Amino acid sequence: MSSATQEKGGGAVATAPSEPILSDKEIDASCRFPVLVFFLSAAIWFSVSAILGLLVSIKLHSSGFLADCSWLTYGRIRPVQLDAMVYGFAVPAAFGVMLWLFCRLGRARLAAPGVLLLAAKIWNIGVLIGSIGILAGDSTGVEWLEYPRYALPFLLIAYALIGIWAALTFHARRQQQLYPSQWYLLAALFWFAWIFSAAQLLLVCAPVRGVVQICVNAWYASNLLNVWLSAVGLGAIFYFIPKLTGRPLYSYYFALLAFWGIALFGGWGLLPVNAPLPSWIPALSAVMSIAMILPILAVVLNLRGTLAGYRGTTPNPILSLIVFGALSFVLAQSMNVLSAIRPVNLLLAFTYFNAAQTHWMLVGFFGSAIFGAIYYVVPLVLDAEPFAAKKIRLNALALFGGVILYGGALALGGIFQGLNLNNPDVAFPDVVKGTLPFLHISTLGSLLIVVAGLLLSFNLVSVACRALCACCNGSKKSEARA
Amino acid sequence: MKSDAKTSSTTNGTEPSVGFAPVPIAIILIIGILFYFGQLYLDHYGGGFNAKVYGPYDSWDHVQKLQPMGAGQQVFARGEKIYNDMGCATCHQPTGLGISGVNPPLAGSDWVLADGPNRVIAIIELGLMGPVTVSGVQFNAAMPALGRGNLSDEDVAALTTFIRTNIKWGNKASEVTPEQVKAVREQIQSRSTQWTAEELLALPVK
Amino acid sequence: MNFGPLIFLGIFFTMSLSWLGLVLGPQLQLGRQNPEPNDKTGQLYPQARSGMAHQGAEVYRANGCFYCHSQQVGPESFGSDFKRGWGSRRTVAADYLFDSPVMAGSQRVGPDLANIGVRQPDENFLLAHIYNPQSTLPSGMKSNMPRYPYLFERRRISGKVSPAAIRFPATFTGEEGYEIIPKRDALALVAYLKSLQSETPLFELPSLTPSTNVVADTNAVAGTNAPNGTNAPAGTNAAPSTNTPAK
Repeated sequence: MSSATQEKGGGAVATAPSEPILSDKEIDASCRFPVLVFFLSAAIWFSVSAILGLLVSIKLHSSGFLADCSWLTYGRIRPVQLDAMVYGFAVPAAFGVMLWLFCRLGRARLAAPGVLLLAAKIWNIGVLIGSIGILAGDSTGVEWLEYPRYALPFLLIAYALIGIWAALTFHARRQQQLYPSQWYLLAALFWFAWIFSAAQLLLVCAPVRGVVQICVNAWYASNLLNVWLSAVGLGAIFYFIPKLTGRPLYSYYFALLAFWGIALFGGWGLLPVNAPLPSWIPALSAVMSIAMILPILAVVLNLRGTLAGYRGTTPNPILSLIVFGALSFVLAQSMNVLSAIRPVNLLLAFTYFNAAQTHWMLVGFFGSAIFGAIYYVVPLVLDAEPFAAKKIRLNALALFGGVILYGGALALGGIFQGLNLNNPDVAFPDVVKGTLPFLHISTLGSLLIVVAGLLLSFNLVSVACRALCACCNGSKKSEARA
Repeated sequence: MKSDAKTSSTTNGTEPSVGFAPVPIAIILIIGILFYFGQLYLDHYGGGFNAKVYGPYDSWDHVQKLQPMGAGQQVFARGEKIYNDMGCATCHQPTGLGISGVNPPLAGSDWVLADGPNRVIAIIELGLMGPVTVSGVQFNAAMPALGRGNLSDEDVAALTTFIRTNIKWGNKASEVTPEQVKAVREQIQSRSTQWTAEELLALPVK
Repeated sequence: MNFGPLIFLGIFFTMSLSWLGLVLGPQLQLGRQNPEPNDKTGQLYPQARSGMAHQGAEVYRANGCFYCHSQQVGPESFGSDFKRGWGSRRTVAADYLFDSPVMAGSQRVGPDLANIGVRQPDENFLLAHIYNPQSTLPSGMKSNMPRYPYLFERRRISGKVSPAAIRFPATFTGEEGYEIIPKRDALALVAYLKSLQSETPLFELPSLTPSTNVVADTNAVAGTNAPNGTNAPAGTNAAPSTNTPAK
């Protein structure tokens, strides 16, 4: 332990030798079951969402595929796919990362793992009930909040439990100095509770009148995908890149700038210029969205400074996942900034470009970063052997290929679609025909994403089974380690 | 891969540390630029933050100005157009105040604000020549005939309505209908020379 | 020094800014908007939907139609909404006062539906399109829209064809020997689609071409405030006079 690292903020253990210092192993062991269950749920819901995404992608170019059953119609599968990716994958994965990082960075044990385990199960039940409700036709009709009302109590109770005990874990920290990831994740914890409750209240429970619903919906969607998701994902990236490369995070101030920038400018919706709203609302939304250049720059400079000249001795697939996530963040947010520019907005308003941008954020940025985090953290909390590099590399390749094919094809397809849509000489069926090649490519991409999800789930399940079986059978474990 | 990291997490871990590289001044510049262009954008496209202004209208005034006019407003606008196009504004001024000593005012003029419009209609029809007292001030009139052969009954009605009901000039008299104009024109059909003030005063006002 | 509470407040304020600007602001401005009387007809606009149309909105919501169809028309100068015949005026806040939830949509995989009730009032066409979108398109054109057969009942024709059955275009031969009877959900959905009309002229959308000659342009805006009786254009007579005063 060098004293140099102690003087700089954020990492080293408390100096007083008389205080009981928790070892990493003890900390990881305290996190074991909640973190594992969160990550496992995330992986499984990711796979479910990916499979539904494959169906959606096929239906977009072959609309007759499985169209005759009401439970499998496009309009019901699409919301289940998106919501499963957010509430089934992103939120539990965020919890897993958050709890583990609060413990590790604060050098404290996880508070009440039993309660957190229960909360994880309740959350999963909520997502399951919500998804089935949508398929049965009970969708609320509000984008990103389609779960019917009867699913909400499960989600809210689970979140309350997790929130309280995560906050208690944070509060019980022994390392007082805060590392940037901690404030990113703590802010995200409270932030999701606020936006979710406010949006549910204003859109589902006591809906506001008329077009104000469009405003609230845009507010919620951008806060969810641009603020909350970024906060969690960047919190993870700002931890794992320094951790895996052994270098310090380049600048505390850039992290601060990115944080405040995202909080200030990220949540203003990306309203189309022609939305049925008084012109000041889309104008304000556009100005704030363009100002997101600032946090993007801060993130880019921070990571460039951290990684400058880094040459690992052996290629690290976990690091490649995290870095791909960081690059996807920059790409996705740049797509957002571009779409806010007026002529571009008019061109791309109702096209697949927006779907591509959401995909890059959810799967490219957050998915990739979290996959890396999961592959790093799970062997630690299970006290098991790390994953084989080959397995991680395969998973990473499937994910990268899927994201690039799906996201890239949809983005390009969206641009062509926009050009055709804005040209009144092109009849509408021809606009549709023009998008078909891109949709075919995107189906290939979604297939790869299904593979990636299944690989992750399979790897996690097998490692968990192995470790838990070994745990049950204590002697076998010590034999394996010998 | 874990062995790549300079720190190993199985020891009493060194979690990552954070550096304090300063933020370049250029960031302040970028913030300034964003702020400036943001303001410009909101000024131009924000519609004044008004609830009723939608694109492509620029402002509340713009929406107001484009509103289709009611019947009365139509007539007034028509009269205003004639007032400008026929050259009335040249002598009597757009303000209706005339040129002191030379051209009599229409704003507040007792001739204009009389109970009925007949004399005004007659003046427009055939012109006015000679000394005339307008609201107590003496003028030497030399107004040409403008109405006969140039303006229809509706036009003269619109013009006289404009003059008599122009609130900006302070005039609040009654409006004039084309029927009233027609009746006056029939009355003075036989005449073809400019009026004098005495002859006009002999005409009934209504 | 404990900056904790200060930081917390700072974060809270920063993040609330978007809520204040994008939720509270619009709510204060538009949240209490009510239907307003039309200048010409005196009727309130918008009107609440009929019972069937209201139920149709539920069917629209449950089947996620808004994931492919938008319900918002842009102004003439932006894009090609007008030229595609999707509306004769843009949609504004007043058009959505009775929608709950507002399903304005964010993708145009299919055409915009804000004015479909005016564009396509034929119930039979709409039913045929929902049952099998390909059936209503001329051959050679491919529709991307999925079928919704579960909203209909498919019966073998025995004797006379039921009057409630869909009459498909002659080019469609897919259902020979069968008749397709719409269920209540399908009829409600069609009633909802027919209720989607946004043509009523509104105060906030006057005609963009200001008349240079206000008199000649009395019918510039469709319907509202057409004056009675001042129709004769005086343009030719209002030319600057070339008469010299007769001295």
